[in-house]
Amino acid sequence: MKTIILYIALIGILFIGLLAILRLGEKIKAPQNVSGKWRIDAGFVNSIHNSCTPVYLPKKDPLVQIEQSGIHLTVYFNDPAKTELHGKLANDSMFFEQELNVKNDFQNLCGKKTKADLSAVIEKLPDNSYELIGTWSNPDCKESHSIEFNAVEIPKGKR
Amino acid sequence: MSILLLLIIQIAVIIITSRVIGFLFRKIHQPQVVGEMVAGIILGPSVLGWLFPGVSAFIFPAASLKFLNTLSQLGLLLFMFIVGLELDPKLLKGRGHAAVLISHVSIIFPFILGTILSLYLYPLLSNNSVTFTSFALFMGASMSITAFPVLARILSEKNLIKTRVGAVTIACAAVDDVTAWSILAIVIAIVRAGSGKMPAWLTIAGAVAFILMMIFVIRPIVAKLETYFKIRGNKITNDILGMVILLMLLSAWTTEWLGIHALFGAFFMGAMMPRNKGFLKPIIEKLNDITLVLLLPIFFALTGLNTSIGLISGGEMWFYLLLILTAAVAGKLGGAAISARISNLNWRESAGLGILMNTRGLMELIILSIGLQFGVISPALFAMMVMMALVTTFMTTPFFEWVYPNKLIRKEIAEADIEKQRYKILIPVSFPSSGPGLLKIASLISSSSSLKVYALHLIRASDISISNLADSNGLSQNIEALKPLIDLAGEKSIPVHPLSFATRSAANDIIQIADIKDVNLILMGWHNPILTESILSGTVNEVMQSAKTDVCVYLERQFNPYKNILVPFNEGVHDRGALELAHRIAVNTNGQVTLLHIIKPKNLPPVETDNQTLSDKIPQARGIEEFPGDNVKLEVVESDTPLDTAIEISKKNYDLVVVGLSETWGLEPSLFSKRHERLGRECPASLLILRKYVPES
Repeated sequence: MKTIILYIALIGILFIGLLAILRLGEKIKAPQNVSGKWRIDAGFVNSIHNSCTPVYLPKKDPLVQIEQSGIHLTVYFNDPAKTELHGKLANDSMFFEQELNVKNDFQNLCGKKTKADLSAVIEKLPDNSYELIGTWSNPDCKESHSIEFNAVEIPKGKR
Repeated sequence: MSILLLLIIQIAVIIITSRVIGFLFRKIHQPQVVGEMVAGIILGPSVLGWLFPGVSAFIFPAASLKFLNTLSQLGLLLFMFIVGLELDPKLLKGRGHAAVLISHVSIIFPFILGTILSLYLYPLLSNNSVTFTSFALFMGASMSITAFPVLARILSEKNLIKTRVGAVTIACAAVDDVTAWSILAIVIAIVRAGSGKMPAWLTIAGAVAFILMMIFVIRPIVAKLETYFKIRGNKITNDILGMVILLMLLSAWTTEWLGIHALFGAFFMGAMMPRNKGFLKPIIEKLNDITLVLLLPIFFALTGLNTSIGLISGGEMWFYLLLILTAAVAGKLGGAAISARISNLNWRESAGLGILMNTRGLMELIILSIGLQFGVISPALFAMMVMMALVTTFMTTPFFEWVYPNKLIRKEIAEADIEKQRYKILIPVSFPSSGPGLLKIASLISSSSSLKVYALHLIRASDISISNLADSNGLSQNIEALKPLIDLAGEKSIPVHPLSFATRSAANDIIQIADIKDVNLILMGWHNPILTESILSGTVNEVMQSAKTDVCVYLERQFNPYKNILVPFNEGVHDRGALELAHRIAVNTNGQVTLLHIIKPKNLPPVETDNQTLSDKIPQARGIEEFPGDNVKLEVVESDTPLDTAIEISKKNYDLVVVGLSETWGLEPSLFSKRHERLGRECPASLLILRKYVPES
């Protein structure tokens, strides 16, 4: 009898607690889902070849894959070197800052390891899909200039 | 390279790595499974992919993983089926309430902590494609799991099953398994409903219908497999094995179709199989080899391939991991330990139980894989949870050894062995005056040093009046009924455990207590019936009919040391039991047993020789162990009326008659006639009537 009363008391109280937590949690907002594949604009593909931190994206189907763990993001470009950047999401903006190993010396004006910055804003398009609009820059490299970055979300069904 | 060639290379690499790492972990006293989990991580991007990206890309190209995934899913189905097969309801015997309490608290405690932690982690490690409810429920479920198979292996390796902590832990883990998978089925239904595939209520209703169908329709059908197994000479033929696997697949398909994951169906079908060990053991052995050696390491490798420890980078991420670990350990270990303490285990046992229940192992990885597959947990969170599973599994053995040193385990096992050898007698006592007599005969059945007595006084619910309830000394009054017995036990140094409570059905409670305490014998007094002339009626009859242990009814005429004991012997299991019981008493009183064998006239056995055994002399006694010493004497008498003869002979100088329950002696309780009481009424000696328990199998 003692065990049954204890059982009902403990489990009952904890169960009510669980319901309260779930209720409370409904008010919490999670970051926007940006995970998945995005098709990169051709202009960026051409310009990034000539940056301090060149990324040799394919002319056909240049893609960036975003792996999301909440506000923590990793982007993977589909270049042969499989360039990846780690960054964060804050509201509707994402920021990546990473030192990249640069292999082709003749292009590199700022040393073997150069910092690359990518920042973008998520914008909703009229067809309810999303677009990333931002810039790619190499802050350590005085000769370089910012490159415009645009990518359009590939709907999940078409990936 | 062709897919088959690649697959062969992949499997070979996986098996070699898992066996080698598993072996190394066994060397440091860790379960093989921890090594296999680590082997999976070594093969993934965290080690192989980081150190040798080229080799990793060659052996495990992304496109090829779907084939490995198929094999690993099949492995998981078989594994969960085996877990279901290994579920043993007998584990709960005598500790059902405590096991359910400890297990459920140790589930809901980490579950709650997991959901509280979700309030913090949800905005940091999830996204708006996952609802908070799904995220929190999944976090809760994955925090609360216990790895029953790993636990069972640790307990059996350390021989802990014999100890109290081991026995309670394995019972709790069994309850944990069923509960956790039921919770997971509900969580999956809610998660899938969140993604708009099927309403949660429909999935849950489907799951309930599935469970009812399995219990009331499929289970009786599946039971016929056992009959077929017996017809085939107790052998698991390939046909039977094929049938069993087919049933498992069908069940898995149904639950997957219902939206509660195929693994649940595989597990449930395992639990529905007949509980005959002779049937289950060969199936488990046949399936275990291929599952544990080939298929599960593939699952570990795939988990490792999905685990990128690199994602846990920076102080912030390591802080999240620390929080997860703290919540998991505090919830599971703490919850299990506190509830065990409440259930009357001491602090050391409670801590040991908590540490064991904190083992998550493979079960955790299975849940996490489901979470990742449904997109409920993100890759970084997945990596953190895998780390948590590894750490909690890894810490089990050293922490347990710290709390429970081997020396102490050995001591407890020795004590448990002594306890097991004790002869346990349950004595239901109605009146204070009947207790001492019953204790005296109990002390003759087994010597004081190896005897343990449970003295039970039941109060009929209808006898409890308001004035009784108001009496603050009510409990001590109950014990008062046992006082003469307890006093005598004190004099004789017999360990007695007094029990007393209100009852609605005395017979049921006596039977249950006997089962829980695992007694060897229920010893009941013989009272003059008030409403009926039948002596073996009412509570005595019900206990004799249903108790799963031997039952003895004692009528004391005059207590002597019982040196001359008569055993009327015809045939049958009860008569044999009576002979054994009489022999036990004779050994303790240094007395003589006369085995009275009454045969039809002109049916005398062949002439005896000195070196004949008892079963040579009386074919009906075949199977009775030969008694050492010279205290069993055979007397063969010719008679057409064995009962009259037995009563007549009992009037000679015998002070105790021990008789088995049978029609021959007019004691079969189904016969409500005057004959029924003749032995009791006319025999001048004290009388012990034995009903021997014969297990159904």
